Amino acid sequence: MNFFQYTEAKTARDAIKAKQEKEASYFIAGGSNLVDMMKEGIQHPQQLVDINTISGLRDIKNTGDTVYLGTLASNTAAAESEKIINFAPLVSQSLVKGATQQIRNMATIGGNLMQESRCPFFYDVSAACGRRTAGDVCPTVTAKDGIRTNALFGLNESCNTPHPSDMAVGMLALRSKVVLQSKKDTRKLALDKFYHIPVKENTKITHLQDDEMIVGVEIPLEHGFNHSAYLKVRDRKSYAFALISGAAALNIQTGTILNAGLASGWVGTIPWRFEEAENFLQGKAATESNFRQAAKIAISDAQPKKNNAFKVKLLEKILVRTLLMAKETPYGTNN
Amino acid sequence: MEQITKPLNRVDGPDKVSGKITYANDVAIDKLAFGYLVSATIAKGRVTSIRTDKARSQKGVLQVFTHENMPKLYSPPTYISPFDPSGDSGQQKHVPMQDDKIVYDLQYVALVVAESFEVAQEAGHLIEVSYEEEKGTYEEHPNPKDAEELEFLFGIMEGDYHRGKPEAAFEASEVKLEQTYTTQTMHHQPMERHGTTAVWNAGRLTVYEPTAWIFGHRKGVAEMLGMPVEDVTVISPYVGGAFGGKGLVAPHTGIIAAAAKEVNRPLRVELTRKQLFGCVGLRSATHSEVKIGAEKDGTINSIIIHTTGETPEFQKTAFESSVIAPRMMYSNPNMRAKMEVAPVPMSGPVPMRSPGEASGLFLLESALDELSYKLGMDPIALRKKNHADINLETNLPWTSKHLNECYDVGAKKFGWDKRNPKIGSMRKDGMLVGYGMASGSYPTLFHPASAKAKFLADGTVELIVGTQEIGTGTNTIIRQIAADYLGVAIEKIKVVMGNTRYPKTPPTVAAFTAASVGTTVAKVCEQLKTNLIRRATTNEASPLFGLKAETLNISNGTITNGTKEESLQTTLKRAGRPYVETQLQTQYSPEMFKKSSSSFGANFVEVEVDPITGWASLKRIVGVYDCGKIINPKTAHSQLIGGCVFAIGMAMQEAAERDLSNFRYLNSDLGGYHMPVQADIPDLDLSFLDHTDKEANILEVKSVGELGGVGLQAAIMNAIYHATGIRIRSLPYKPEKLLEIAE
Ligand SMILES: Cc1cc2nc3c(=O)[nH]c(=O)nc-3n(C[C@H](O)[C@H](O)[C@H](O)COP(=O)(O)OP(=O)(O)OC[C@H]3O[C@@H](n4cnc5c(N)ncnc54)[C@H](O)[C@@H]3O)c2cc1C
Ligand code: SF4
Repeated sequence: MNFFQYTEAKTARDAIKAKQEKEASYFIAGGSNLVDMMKEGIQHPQQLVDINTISGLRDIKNTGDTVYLGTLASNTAAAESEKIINFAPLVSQSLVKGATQQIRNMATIGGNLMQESRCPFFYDVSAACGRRTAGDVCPTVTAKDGIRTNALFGLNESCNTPHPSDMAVGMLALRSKVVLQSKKDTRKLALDKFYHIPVKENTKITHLQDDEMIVGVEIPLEHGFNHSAYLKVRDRKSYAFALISGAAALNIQTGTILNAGLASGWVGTIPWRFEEAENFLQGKAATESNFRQAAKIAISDAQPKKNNAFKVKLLEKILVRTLLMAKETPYGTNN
Repeated sequence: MEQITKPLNRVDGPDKVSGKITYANDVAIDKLAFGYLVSATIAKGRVTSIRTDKARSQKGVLQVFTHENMPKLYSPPTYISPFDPSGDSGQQKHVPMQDDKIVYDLQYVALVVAESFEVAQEAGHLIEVSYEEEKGTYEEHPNPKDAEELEFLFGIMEGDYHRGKPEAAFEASEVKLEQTYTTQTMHHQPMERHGTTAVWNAGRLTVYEPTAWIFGHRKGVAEMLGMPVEDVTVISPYVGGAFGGKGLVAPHTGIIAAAAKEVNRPLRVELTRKQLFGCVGLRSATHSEVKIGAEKDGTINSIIIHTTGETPEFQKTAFESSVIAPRMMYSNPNMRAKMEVAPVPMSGPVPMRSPGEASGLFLLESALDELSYKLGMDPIALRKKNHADINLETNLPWTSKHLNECYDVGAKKFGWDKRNPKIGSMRKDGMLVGYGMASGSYPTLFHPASAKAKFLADGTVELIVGTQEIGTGTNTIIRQIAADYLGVAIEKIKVVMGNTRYPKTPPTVAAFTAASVGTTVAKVCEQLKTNLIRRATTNEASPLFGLKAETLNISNGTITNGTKEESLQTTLKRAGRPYVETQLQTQYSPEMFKKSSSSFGANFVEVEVDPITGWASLKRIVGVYDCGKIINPKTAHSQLIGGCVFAIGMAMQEAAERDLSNFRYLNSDLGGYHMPVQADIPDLDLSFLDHTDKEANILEVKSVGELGGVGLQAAIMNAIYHATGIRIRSLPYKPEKLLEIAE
């Protein structure tokens, strides 16, 4: 780890200003991802701008038509909040499957959305990696058969690693919006517009601007979701990233689906939403055969290689199971 | 006998969980320098250049070693087995930083010595190494096409064993099974990392090192440095987990000791977590071709196993010796068990919990399950039918064997009678349910040991033994044994261990500590007892003067025949001595080779599998074990739990992932290498049968530590097969392996 300057910010504006004043400056929230990368020699910050000292960013509020999470709410606080459990339980369902209790106690909402790749080559500084060093040619793109964990969607011949977050997948199915503040104003971006698929010569996968900071996430309640589930299939039952996860939110009225949210983790280079499958389900009966059809639609444009070909079928099955689980889990019954 | 068989807490437990224990690399030392080892980023090839100027110019850096300036270290021309009693050491044949060659991933290429760890690490990152990589093509498992003869197997066994006419008997059998089973490369990853603190004083060396074998380390380090064994002391106060992985001398110890001498400072270097994945040995992957020939009534005629294991180029040795346990497990008159090795770029392999039994009983107990379906026979009935009444490998009777009782008690506890043998026929809450079982066994071994017992004026007793506390409870059971064999309250007994200045003992591996060190402690205590009684009966001033020693006993620190008595402290005072001590060394005896001793067990598993996704979960495990007398049921039970957790890791989730284009490790951290966590472990109901083994040794004990979980890997896969009809012959389970599930 190298020497760096440490700055405490009192307001979001201060934080942005401080960050812009020095090269290689980063916001630090819980530090659970950034400090790891510094120890591994992946990030060499000149300055860390601590945003924990900014007040008012920790709140969790229900405004009537939205539930709002301040960026500094810890992953634990969010997962255990009554407002989340009652009105957006999918956020809690996905959060508790992530990392470990200790890490969730430190991890924040904004840090979770911004967390970096978990690709083994990203972590091996002796390997080429386009997400670590702009312009590097990704070894998994050139490997003919790919690797087991590679993504199936959002591929662009530049980076194949799936986005690691669980929480973002839950939020995506609920059609959440990220609230961004710059020195001048704030703007909201739907989560699927906040992320963009990896592009060559660029290490970023979000539209967050250099002069912007995440201040919170807004979860709209207008879709009337009243059932949800999150299923995370993985190689170890806790403290492991997903092999594939499924998130489903359903608005079911007397057996008919009025609205559906369907997303997956570890299949897309960014959290992946299945809009066509969602549209298919709208107005349909909440039955297993409809769920199976929706899952088929969801996988139709997957792009597997040999070593991750199994993921297509596994994804299909996980989506079916997740939808069945959601149907069995009305709001208020999961905790 | 009062203390033996009591479930006492570990004496070191409270201090360990409250962080008070001083581990080897916690020992405070004056003027200590710190080091950081830099690892290679290729698995095979050579270093073409290494630039250390940036590192050297960092403030606080004392020296940077590379192959260009590292003192020469000796490496043995032939590999010495740790199980060869005359040999010791077990040092691997390859020592890094002696030339420009790289023979495995993460091999050390440089050592930075500095005033602090942080400076050493940062300087280490500034070293620039260029390589010429030698390309290769690699596979996940060793390929029998590349197989070569072993230098030796485990050091003690023949690599190609047979009895009867295995091939002919197989061909002539009514029912034939032919299958291939593979197991994965695994890493030990104890909580405490490996590391060395080396302190030189007037040409003599003291090494603080977490090791499961202080005497082996002493020999290995002395050899590497070319100095007399007597000038080296190895101290290992406590060991934070070993699992077989700290038993053999890894080369870092010699490198660090030599560097300490060069910089003329005490030096401490701990390996990084990542280096534990590549530099200190692992459980080798195996590939086994198995044939079983049986009659329709279930009688097994012949078992043929051909295993190929991973090994490094520089040393054709195997510890994951799948072919040993199957030799004696059943009553098949015809048997072939052949082990070979296929070289890959890796560090010297070392034993890992139940080495050989883990893969050997996975393949055998999986194959028996497959056979039971072919025969339409209950898996327990098939095993009982082929019960080995004697050890057919040695043609010796058992000291004791209660395996059939393990099956019966286990089946009852588990509810095996509720099993519908039809595949996929059992369900619970919409999930498929599978029941599976498998046998287990582990030999009871003995190696000579020595110990000293010392009675002191304050009425306390010191037991001085070189052995090491790797967390199994050795310290605790030595006190229990000494208390009973001396007749002194357990609170008065202190165990002094973990230093090569103390009486010599074998490594803490292969579950032989109770049978080796334990029996030696019992004997030295008997000897001290005789000594003390004789001092009383031969002293005219004693009330016990003239009494026959056989009529006297010691109880609660007092010599007594029921009517007359004298406290040991008085006896000592009269003898006019500050203490009385006695030392003893046990030996192999011809008696030991007249019978065969093994522990046995039966494993039962319930799994649930999601019929849609094929995702499997373990629901409960029942294990019943026949291990002779249990000195401490609590520490022994903990060993069983640990064994089962290891087996679950191997069966369900742990595996080294390597990039097959260059054989570098891909998941070398605790986040990516999936050792089990609490959520992976189902309800474990593990118990011992209530038998002692009078034939085995004076303590009537058999092996415990390695038996837990032996065979469990197969029981789990057998349960998964019962639930799904999918047979997993390649460990570990992965979610994608059950994708082809019917629905
Ligand atoms: C061992 C381990 C296991 C894990 N397992 C999982 C898992 O199973 N599932 C899962 O989803 N996650 C997992 N994680 C990741 C974890 O969720 C993230 O590390 C965590 O959410 C990051 O939050 P943080 O506040 O600590 O971020 P930090 O480390 O502080 O920051 C991470 C990044 O976000 C940026 N950032 C932080 N806040 C803001 C903001 N307000 N505006 C703009 N940028 C910001 C930082 O500059 C930095 O680049 C795991 C992490 C670890 C260490
Ligand atoms: S997949 Fe992405 S993160 Fe991995 S090496 Fe390629 S560019 Fe880097």
